[in-house]
Amino acid sequence: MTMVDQETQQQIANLVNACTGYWELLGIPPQRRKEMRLELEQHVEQAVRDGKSLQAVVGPNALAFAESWARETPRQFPRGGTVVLRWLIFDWLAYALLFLLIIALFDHLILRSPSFSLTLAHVVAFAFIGVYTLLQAWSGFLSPRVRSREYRLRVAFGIYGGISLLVILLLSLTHFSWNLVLVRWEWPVTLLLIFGAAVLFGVKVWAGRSEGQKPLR
Amino acid sequence: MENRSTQLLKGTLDMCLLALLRAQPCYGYEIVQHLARYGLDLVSEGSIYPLLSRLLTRGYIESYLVSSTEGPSRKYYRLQPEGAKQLEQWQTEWDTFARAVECLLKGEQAHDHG
Repeated sequence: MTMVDQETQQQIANLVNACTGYWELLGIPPQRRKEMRLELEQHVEQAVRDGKSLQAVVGPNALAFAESWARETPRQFPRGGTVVLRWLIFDWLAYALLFLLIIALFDHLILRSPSFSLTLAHVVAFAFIGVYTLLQAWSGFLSPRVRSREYRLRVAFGIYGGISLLVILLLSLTHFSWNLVLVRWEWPVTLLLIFGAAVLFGVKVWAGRSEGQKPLR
Repeated sequence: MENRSTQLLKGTLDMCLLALLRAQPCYGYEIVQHLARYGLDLVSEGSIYPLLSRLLTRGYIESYLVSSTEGPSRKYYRLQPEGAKQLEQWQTEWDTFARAVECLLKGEQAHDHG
């Protein structure tokens, strides 16, 4: 029996997190999901200690494995609707808001502008942030094939870069006015948004902690 | 390309799982180890979990958690009366099938089932 090194532990954690996130998206009830997560984690850890690879447990396609298990498990309705909503609010909106605040503060503090203009280009940037957060969540499925976390991130960034380049190329062929102002607001609104972002991140951290503290049964 | 024994195991894995659980309650990794002792190696060990989930949904087996002093609870599976009945039926089907294939391989005369 071999010891599990830190890199392998990270590899296992990424795989298990990716599978759990996917099951959540498919609407598997929390209690059942927790049991599946625990079973997978314990199985992979024991297999690794016995000198086996992650691929020996989940096969060459970790996503297909997660899908096949979910297919045989009763789901709750609405199918992942709340999960998508939660992802939109806590992941996409939180990071988009952070991005928005950085550029708004840059306008107010560095360019000394009392107002901030939200343009079409900013909206496109939000969409890029959305794709990035999705890819980041799903990169764990690469764990059985790509052992090093660094390489996994590189692959994820590579995919992200490829998608981004393609979208930018397509957008450059269109004739939109990217500087078109959609909304304009004064600095007090930016302050209000900073408060809103702080609340959002606070709730995000609190929700993450309370989810992790729930006992299995 | 999967080899023949892998394909055969795929088609009979649910029956094998019920047969193993008839002998004693087991947790996932233990099931894989027992299968390996019989020379039944799975291409991916995790493929037992979707099947266990299906058997659970059909009421053939049930699961329960056993607390451990070393770490979190472990999930065990045990056979249910409904599963025992199903296993008997599958076993009869398997015997008939295996006999037929054996006869064919030995070049024996076919019996008319019609």
